Amino acid sequence: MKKLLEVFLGVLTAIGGFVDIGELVANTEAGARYGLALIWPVLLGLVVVLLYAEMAGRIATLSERPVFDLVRERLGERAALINLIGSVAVNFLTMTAEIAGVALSIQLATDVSYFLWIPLVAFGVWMIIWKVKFSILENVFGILGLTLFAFAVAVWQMHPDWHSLFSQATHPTVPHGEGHPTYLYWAIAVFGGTIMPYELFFFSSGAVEERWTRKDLFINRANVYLGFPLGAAAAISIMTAAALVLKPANIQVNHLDQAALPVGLALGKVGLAVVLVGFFAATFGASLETALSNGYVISQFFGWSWGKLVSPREAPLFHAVMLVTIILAAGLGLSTIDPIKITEYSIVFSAVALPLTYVPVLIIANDPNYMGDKTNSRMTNALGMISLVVVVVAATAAIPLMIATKAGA
Amino acid sequence: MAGCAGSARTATDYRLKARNSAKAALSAVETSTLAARLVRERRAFSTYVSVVLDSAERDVTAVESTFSSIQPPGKSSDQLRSALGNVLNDAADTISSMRIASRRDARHDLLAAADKLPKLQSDLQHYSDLPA
Repeated sequence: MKKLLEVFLGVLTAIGGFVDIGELVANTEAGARYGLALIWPVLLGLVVVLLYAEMAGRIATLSERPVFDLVRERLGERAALINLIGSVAVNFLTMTAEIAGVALSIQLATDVSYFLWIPLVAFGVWMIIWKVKFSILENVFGILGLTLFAFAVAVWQMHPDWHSLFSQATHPTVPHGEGHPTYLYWAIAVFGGTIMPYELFFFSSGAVEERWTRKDLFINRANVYLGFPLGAAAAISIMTAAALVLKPANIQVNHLDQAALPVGLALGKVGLAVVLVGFFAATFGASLETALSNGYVISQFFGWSWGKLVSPREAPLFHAVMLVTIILAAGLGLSTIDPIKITEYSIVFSAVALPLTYVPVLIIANDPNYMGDKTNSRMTNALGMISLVVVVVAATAAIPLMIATKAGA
Repeated sequence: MAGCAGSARTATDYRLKARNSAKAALSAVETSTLAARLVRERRAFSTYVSVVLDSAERDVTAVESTFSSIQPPGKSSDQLRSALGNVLNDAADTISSMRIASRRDARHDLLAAADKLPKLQSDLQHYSDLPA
């Protein structure tokens, strides 16, 4: 019974934790601009993240070491350093976007400028990492993130033409007046928003922190195979709500507040309040995860003592890295750079950095020295290779498309 | 933002920038229309509506400022500059009035200001459909 509850809680957390500022912004913008013609990158991203998150969890469980630790050992110092620089840069940009996202969510409820909230949010992130138990931290924000299903309820309440929605999703077309390069740029943004690298680092390091054993491989699979698809369903409902309300009105999405408009119109004040809680939980949870991910990867690369469960006295550099990156991210958030632009860049650069994470995961998952008898099956390898090709194509095309389309303008 | 624009060398180029500015302003006006609907149907808190209107106001003000800074390439473009400039100015004023009313929790004033939005939508739609 206890095990079942653990699985259930893990799945709920995985669902709620799936959506972050990247999905909120990219899926709203994509829905408002292309309707449901960009659902396929969400589904493609889901397949890729299912495969690689399961591998990362399995690697961490069997080797009792997190992915980044093994990357250095398996690929050598130089390759790992390149990986570290790319991953930390993207993580940092993502953390800035998440912290700004929390501040923007509070602004929506208080009408007090998000600039004033950023220092408090940064302090809150640091305090929670410092004081709150790992399991509470993970479960509370993950479960509160479930409130984002208010988007699904709002879509249902709007009584849409399901046949038309299905047709848009299954026969994607580029709207008249929109260029194909811009469409592809947004496809990469939606794809990148679905599979940000920090999720893998957090997932695998969390498995080590929670001391998963072979018996917990079942929990790993349940979290990934049940939680992530349901999380993707929440992301798709955000896109659908935007497609139904914002697209017909020709609204260009420049602000987080516009994302909540469909829910307010469909469900009123209660729905709006619920979805604002969802914005807060999704972005706060991801702020914690990105801050921890930075601490994890840097400490694991340099071989420092690390862990949320390890006291600051025993892991001073791990905690110092988190503190410094939180302060720097808050500083960038306080600049006049538009937080939505930071989010857009973070998800596109995530796509660029993905091969740095995914290639070593695939290599290690096939190494019997680490995996014993639990190396990848042929099917997993075949799907993993196809996914890797997709990831590399997206990573290669992202920057040229960003330049050619002026970042999807 | 789609309304951002540099210099315009020809009348066609200027018309294109005018069209993009109109589209960006139309987006802000449509967003404000949805915000007004939330208020009319009592479906949102005033804090949320204020933030939505504040964002829309910043967008339309930025579009207005950018468009007005573009040098029209010839006299034929002056009329377009003046006409669209007036519409953008009206849009900024209207959304600003709505935002002020929202912050004062003056529902009737907000809805009265919002009455001007359909005309602005129609005008901006006209400029959004300008031929290239």
